[in-house]
Amino acid sequence: MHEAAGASIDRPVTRGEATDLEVEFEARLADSAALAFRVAYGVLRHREDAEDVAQEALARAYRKLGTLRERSRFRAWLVRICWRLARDRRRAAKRRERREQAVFGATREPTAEDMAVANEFRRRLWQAIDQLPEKLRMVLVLAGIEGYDVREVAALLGLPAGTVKSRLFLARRRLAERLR
Amino acid sequence: MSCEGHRPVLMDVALGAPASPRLATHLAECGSCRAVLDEERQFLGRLDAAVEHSLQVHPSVSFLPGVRQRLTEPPARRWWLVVWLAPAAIGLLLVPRILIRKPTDAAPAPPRTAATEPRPVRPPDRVPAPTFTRTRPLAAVRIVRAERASAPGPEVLIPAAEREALRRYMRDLQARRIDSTLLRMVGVEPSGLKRIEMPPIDLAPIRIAIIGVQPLTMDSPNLGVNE
Repeated sequence: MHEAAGASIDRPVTRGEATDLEVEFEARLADSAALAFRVAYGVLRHREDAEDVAQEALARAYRKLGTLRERSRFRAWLVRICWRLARDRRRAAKRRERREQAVFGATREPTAEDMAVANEFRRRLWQAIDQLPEKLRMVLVLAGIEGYDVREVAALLGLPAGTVKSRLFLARRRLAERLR
Repeated sequence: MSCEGHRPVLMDVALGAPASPRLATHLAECGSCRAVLDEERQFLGRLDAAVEHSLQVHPSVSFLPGVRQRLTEPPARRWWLVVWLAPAAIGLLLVPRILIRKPTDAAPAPPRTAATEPRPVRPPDRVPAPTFTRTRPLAAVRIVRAERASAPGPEVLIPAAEREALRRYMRDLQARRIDSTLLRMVGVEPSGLKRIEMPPIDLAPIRIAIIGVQPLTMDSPNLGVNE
């Protein structure tokens, strides 16, 4: 589940192993690329940034694929990497935005992306989602991706289904209270 | 219970929480509350649909080629690690130099010869052994302990013949009965030891031997006294 699942990948990889890894990764890439992108988009809600983060997450996953002992947990592992990278990117973007506001005294011009999401309900919806605690937000976003159910989200996060269910319950109730 | 009493829990029921038997009975009888419950369910359904719809995005066609392109590039260097490690390393190098400060005004140590080699003297029992080492020799004439006897740190042994004379000399010096210009203080060590450079002194009836410069190291209890 964790990015550092397994320990070192420092030993040299033989040619045969490298080929096997490449083949395996290509299969996983086709299977999980959209998931990584959507997870990043769920945090950043900016297409280019989300692609950049998802690409980086997939590249990291490939480089450390040899260290992943339980290959069946690849998607969960990838989700965690992607979420962390996206969260870091978003925090950095917020810091940068604050600095720019402090320097220029004005907010940036709305981009085409901003205008595309200018729908009032969606704007309020994501505002409310952003205000959720990270644990609740993560469950809500993952449940929103391709309509994953509680068991699938639990498997992705490595959590008991009951925990995911109660977090999802709390997240939806808080959203409803804020948006009603 | 009235409708108003049940309304607050309708959202929880809409979210999937089981309804209590009393609420179930009330819902079976009250069309108004059933309508509110339906509204709550519809509202939550719209919320879920909005979240799902917002996340129904697809990466561009350049996404997968971009991933493969990244795999051919070397991993990004962790520049932030360098940013933090460099000051930390400098700090680690400076700490010992701050803790063990060298005397700023010490005269250069003369070459050590057999004639100036300190005579090994057995320290008295009450003298604790030095707890630190000092590789750089001190250019000192004589070191006089300026602290309490119980204080830790090295102590220079003074020959018995001179000890009383030196004590009286220092007492007279402090009482300003002796011209202090004869004596030049050249610094105070952090350990509390005063380094005193003295010219040849002959103050009858006290006689202080001429004291020559010799290097002393702090890493041995055998701190000698030049006779």
